[in-house]
Order: sequence, then C-alpha cells, then structure tokens
Amino acid sequence: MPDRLTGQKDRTVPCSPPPGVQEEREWIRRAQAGERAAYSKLVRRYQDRLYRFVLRMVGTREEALELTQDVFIKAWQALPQWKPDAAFHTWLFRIGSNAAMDALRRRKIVEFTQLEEQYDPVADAPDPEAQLQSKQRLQALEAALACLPPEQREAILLREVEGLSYAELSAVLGVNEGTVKSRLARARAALASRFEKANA
Amino acid sequence: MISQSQDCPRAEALSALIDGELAPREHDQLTAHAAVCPLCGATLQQFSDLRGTFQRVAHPDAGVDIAALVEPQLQPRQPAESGRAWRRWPWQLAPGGVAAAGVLATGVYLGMLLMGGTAAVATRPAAMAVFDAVPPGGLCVGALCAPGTR
Repeated sequence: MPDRLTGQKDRTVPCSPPPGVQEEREWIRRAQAGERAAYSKLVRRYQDRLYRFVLRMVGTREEALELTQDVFIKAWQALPQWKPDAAFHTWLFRIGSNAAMDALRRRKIVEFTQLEEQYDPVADAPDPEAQLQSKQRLQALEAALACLPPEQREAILLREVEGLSYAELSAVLGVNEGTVKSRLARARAALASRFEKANA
Repeated sequence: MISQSQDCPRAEALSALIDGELAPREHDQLTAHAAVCPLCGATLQQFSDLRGTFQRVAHPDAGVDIAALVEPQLQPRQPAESGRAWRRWPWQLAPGGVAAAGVLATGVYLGMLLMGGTAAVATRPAAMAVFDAVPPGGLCVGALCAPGTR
C-alpha cells in the first residue's frame, strides 16, 4: 500500500513547534500581567483558526463571530490561571469547543449555511470541469459534515482542518485518546458513507 | 500479518493509521493487511480520499479584526495584591486582637462589680424595709429579732 494512504509521513516527521514560539510566550507573559496590547497580538494570531472552527460547528457567520469574541474574552479572564504545560492554542480550542457545544445545546435546532457557496475552494484543478467537480466534492463534504453529531464533527475538524494530534485532541475534548480514536473513526466512516452517496 | 476476519474493516485502526497514530509495528502490520484485504483496502482508500478533500477545503477568515472588537471589552486585570486581600499573616491580626481582648476584660470586670461587689450592698433602698419579716416599728419576737435578721 502506498505511503500516501497510511499517514507514514505524519508518523516519521515529528510535529515541529510553530514559528514564533518564544515570541508567543512573551506575549502570554505580558498578557497575564494585564497588558491588553500583548493579548491582542495573541488574538490576531489565532482569530481565524478559532473562527473557522466555531463557524463549522455552529454554521452561521454572525453567531460564529460572536462566539469567537466570547471565547477570547473568557480566555483573557482565565489567562492568569493558564500554565505552560498545555499549548496555548489547545487551551483556546478547548474554550472554543465548550462555547460551540453550549451554543448548540441552547438552540437544539441547527441551521447550517453551505460554506462553499460563500467561499471559493482552492483553485487547484486544471480546467473548469475539474474545478466544478472539485467544488461539488467540497460542497458534499461540507453538507456531510453538517450532518455529523457535534462530538464527531468537532473531532474531525480539529484533526483534519486544524491538524491537532490525538494527545492535543484529548486535551481539547476532555476525553481519553481511545475515545478520540473511536470518535474519529466513526466520523470518517459516516462522512465516507455520505460522501459516496452524494457522489454516486 | 493480520488476516482477514469477520471484524474487517477495522475502521478504528485504519483511521489511526491514516493519522499516523499507530505504533510502528502495528502500522506495518495493518498496512500489509490492507494491501490484501479488499474491505480494509477500500476503507483505507475512502479515508485517504476524504483526507485529500479536507486538504482542499476553504479556510474562511473572519473578515474582521476580532482583536480590535475584543480589546475594548477586556476588563482591566485586578492587581495580584487584591486577590490576596483576605490572606493575612497572624501577626498582622495581633493589634486588633489585643484591643478586643482589652474591651472584653473591661466589660467582664464592670459586670462583676455590679453583680457581686460592695456596690450591691450600698444600693439597697431603705423603703424596701417594709417587706422585712419585722416591718419598721413592729415588735420584735424571738428569733425574728436575732442579730442580722433586720
């Protein structure tokens, strides 16, 4: 079986720390001391990642924007208690995940927007027909994602879009790695099934 | 090598394989198995295609500077000192304790004076003598006139 199927690359190349780690630690230290300008730099570093995760969880731009702001405000309040033994982005995603799940529980009925109608996919296909196919696949994926149970949706988004490891997912979702593994497998099986039907 | 059995496809293991989260030995065994098991091979291919599609999904940004929206809403952080306002050392409480003990002792002393000291005897009014066993002006009979009964 070719390696491209098996994640061999992921296993052999350890996840290197993102650039600017020292810089980020300094921002965190200053933000913990109460410096709002330093905290704004942290917000700018993570705002788009957090926003798109929340957007795909709750499905509407307005609510996602509001929730993302709430997450950063909560994180500011809790920042003095943050310890460097957890990665800052993992900690943020945990707050974001809780906020999104709370929002979903509150409203019960979820209306999702079709994200790919609003955003153009990466135009990597060579000709218009291939581009259309690519767009249709992405739309099918977004639609299938919206149908997943929220616990599976957040797990697969954090893994596939944000690239979190199982250990990080375990910290964000507050479950053990065995649960992460089974949740991802169920999410993938459900997505693959829906995806296949949509493309049939 | 893992052989094909009833519980194929092993979705959990294949999913972890895609994520590169299996131990090297498990990874190699499952990869070899998927190469010969049509069910696992097909599932692995599906998961791999899914990953390929995820890699092309759009990354929408917020379209606004969230930091600029958030910053005015941040409450100034309380100085660390105020958080420990109630945490005092015992010696810091000593002056107040001494004062409280002094006030209490003074109160007890004054109370004792009122209840049982010389002041109690001195304050007995003469009019109360009408309630004595032998009222003022009455004849004194026997033991009633013994010293100390009047």
